Amino acid sequence: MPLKYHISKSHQGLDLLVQLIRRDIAAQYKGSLLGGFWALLTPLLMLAIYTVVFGDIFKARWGTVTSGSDAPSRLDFALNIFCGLIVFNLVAAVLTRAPALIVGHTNYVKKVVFPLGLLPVVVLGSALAQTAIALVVLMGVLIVSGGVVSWSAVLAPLVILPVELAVLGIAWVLAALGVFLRDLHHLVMVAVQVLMFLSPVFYPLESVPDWLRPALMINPLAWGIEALRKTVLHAQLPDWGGWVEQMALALALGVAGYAVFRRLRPAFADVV
Amino acid sequence: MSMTTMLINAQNLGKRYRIYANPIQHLKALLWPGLKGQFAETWALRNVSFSVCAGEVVGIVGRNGSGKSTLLQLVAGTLTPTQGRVNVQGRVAALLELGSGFNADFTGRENVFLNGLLLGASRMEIAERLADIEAFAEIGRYFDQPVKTYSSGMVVRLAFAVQVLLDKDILIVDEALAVGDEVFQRKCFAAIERFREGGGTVLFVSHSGETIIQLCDRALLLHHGQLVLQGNAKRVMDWYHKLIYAPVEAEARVLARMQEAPDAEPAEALAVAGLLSMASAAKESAAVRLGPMAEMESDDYDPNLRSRSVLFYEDRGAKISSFALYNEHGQKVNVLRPRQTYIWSYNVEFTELARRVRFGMTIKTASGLELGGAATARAFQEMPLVEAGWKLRVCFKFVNLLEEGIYFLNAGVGGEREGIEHYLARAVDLSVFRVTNVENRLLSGGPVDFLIRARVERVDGDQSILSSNSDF
Repeated sequence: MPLKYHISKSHQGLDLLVQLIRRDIAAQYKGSLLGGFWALLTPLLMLAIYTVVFGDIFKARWGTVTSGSDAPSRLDFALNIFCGLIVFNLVAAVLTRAPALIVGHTNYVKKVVFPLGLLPVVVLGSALAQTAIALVVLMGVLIVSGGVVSWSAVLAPLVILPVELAVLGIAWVLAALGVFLRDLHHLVMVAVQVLMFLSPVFYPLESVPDWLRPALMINPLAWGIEALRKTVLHAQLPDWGGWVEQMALALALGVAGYAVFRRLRPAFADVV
Repeated sequence: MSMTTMLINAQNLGKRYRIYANPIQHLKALLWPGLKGQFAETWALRNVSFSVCAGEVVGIVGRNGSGKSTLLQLVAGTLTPTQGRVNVQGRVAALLELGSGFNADFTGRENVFLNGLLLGASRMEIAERLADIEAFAEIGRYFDQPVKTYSSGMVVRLAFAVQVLLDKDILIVDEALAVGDEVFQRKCFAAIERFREGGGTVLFVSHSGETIIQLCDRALLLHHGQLVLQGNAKRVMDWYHKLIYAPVEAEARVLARMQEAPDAEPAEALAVAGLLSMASAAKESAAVRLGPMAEMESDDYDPNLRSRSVLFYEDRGAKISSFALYNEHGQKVNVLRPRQTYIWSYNVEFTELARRVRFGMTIKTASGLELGGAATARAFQEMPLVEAGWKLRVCFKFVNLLEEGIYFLNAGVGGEREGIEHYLARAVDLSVFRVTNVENRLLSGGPVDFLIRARVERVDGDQSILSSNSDF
C-alpha cells in the first residue's frame, strides 16, 4: 500500500477518535439543563467545599511544606487536595468505566468492524477533557486569589502523561477481562476507593512513614500528583530523572496492556 | 478495477466455537493455550474455500444454522477465523443483522457520521452524501431524533442507506432486506443493481430462491458448515431445494451425487448417478405415450427444444412417469401461440398408499421467476386415498397469456404419507416451451400478455382516430 493510503487511514482513525470523544462527552451532559456548564461548575464547587471544610473548619495545614508565599492561605490545603483529585479523578473515571466498556458496546463487537482498542482511548480522551477544565479552574483560582501562576505550570500536561499511559494500559486489560469476568466491575469500584487512600491525595508524600514510602512510589499516581503540585503550586520543575523512570514504567504498562487486549480480542465476539 | 481482480479469497476457512462451562475457563484457555479446559466443541464452518472477483454478485444459501451468517461475518471481519484465512481487498460495507452498529442514544444524523467513519469514509465524503442518505432512508424528521425512538424498519432503512450510498468495493448483505415494505425493498434491489452495474461486488445471503436467481451470478451452498456446491446461481438453487426437501435418510445420497458431478447439469448428474428411472425418459420425449392423441405431433413441436435442467426430487411413494404439453386438438406441442388453449399433462405412478393427494403445476420464466400455477388443493379436488399401484393422469388446461420467450413447467404431487404432509414427487423444469410468432402485437416488456390493445386519437377538436388495434 502506498504511503498516502496509510496517511489517509490514520487520518480517518483520528477523525473517528475525535468524533467518538465528542459524543462521549456530549452523552454525559445530554438532557441536563446546564449541559456542558457542569464541567466547569463541578470542580469550582469542589474547590469551594474543600476551602470551607479544610481551610475554615479543620484549619488544616498542608504538611510541613510552605508554599511560595509567606503564610499559607486558607486556600492552601484545598488547592493541594484539588491537585491530587485532578489526577485521581482522571484515573478513577477511566478505571471504573473500563470493565463494562466492551460489554456495553455489543453492537461494535458483533455488527460492525470496529477498532475496539479505541474504546479505552475514547474514555481516556473524554476524561482528559475534564482534567483540562479542572486545570484551567485551578489556574484561574490561583490568579484570582492573588497568587502568581508560575511558568512551570505549563508542564502540567507533561507531568501527568505517565499516569495517562499507565491508566490506558490498565484500562485495556480491564476492558478485555471484563468481557469474561462480569464481577470485575464491582471489584474495580472497590479497588478505586482503596486507591484514593493509597495515593497522596489527602496528604503530602512526605507525611508517609519511610518504611511505607517505596510501596507508594510504585503507584504511578503518587509521582504524578506530587509533580503536579510542584509545577503548579510551588513553581518548581519536576524531577526529570523520575519522569523518565515513570514514563518507562508507564510505556511498559501500556504496551503490556494492549498486548493482553489484542490477545483476548478475537474471542470477544464469541462471548459477548 | 478489472474484472479479474480477486477481491475476496477464502482459503480453508473455519470457525470453531467452544462452549465453556464458565467464562473463567474460557479466559484461562485463551491466556494459556496449552491448558485443557472443559468445553463442548462445534464447528460453525469448516474447510471453506472460495473466491469472489470484482464485479461479481455471489449468493450464499443453506438451511438455518448452516453457517451462512458466520461466513459473512468472517468476510466482513467481525469474527476471527479459527482455521484458514480470508483475504479481503477494498472497502467493505456490511449489513449484518439489523441496524449495524448504531448507538441508540444518538440521532440518525450522528450515527450516519459514525457509521461512515467506521466504513472508512472521510468526514467530507459523508457530509457530501448526507442529503442523499437522508432522502434514501425516507425517515423524515426522525433523522434528527435518537435512534432508540426508531421502529425496526426505520433502523434498517437508515443502515441500508449508509451502506449503499457511501463508496465501497464490496457490499455484504445478510437478509436485512427482508425487513421494510415492498416499495423500500424494490428500492434496495435497484440500489444493489446500480452498484453492480457500476462494477461493484456483492456477497448476499437470502432464503429467497427468486432473489438469489435474480440478483446473483453465482451461488454457494452451505450445508452443516461445509461448502458443498458452488456455481451457477440457478443450478445451486435447484440443488439446494432438492437438498432441503429430501427426507433425512436420503440427504447423504443427494449430497454424494451432487459432489460426484458438481459441474454437470443437475439432470445429467442425476442420470450419471442412475438416481432416477425418469432421467432417460426426460431426455427421450418419444417415450411419452398418452393414449391415442399422443402420437400426433403438430408443426408446433420443436424436437430440439428440451429442458436441460430437469430436476427430480427424491420420490416419496409416487413417481412422475411421463409428461407432455398438448394443443386443443390433442397434438403434442412445445411452441405455443398467444391466447390459445393448451393442456399440460403428466402421469403419476403410486408405489405406496397415500392420503389427501393433490397435484400441482407451475410456469416459470427462464430465470426461474414463478409466474403462476395451480394445484388441486380444494377439498373436492384432492383425492382422499390413493392406493399403491395406481397410475393417474393429471391434466391442466390453460390459456397461454405469455409474451414471446422461453418458459419452464414444474409438476408436483403433494399428500399425506404416514400422517405427515410431503411432496410425494416433484419435478422442476420438467418441460420447456417457447412462445413465438406473435403477429400484429404491441411491443411489450414483461413476460405476461395482459391482452392489451391500444388506440391513439386526437382530442383537440379533430376527434379522428390516428391508430388502433382492430378489436379495441
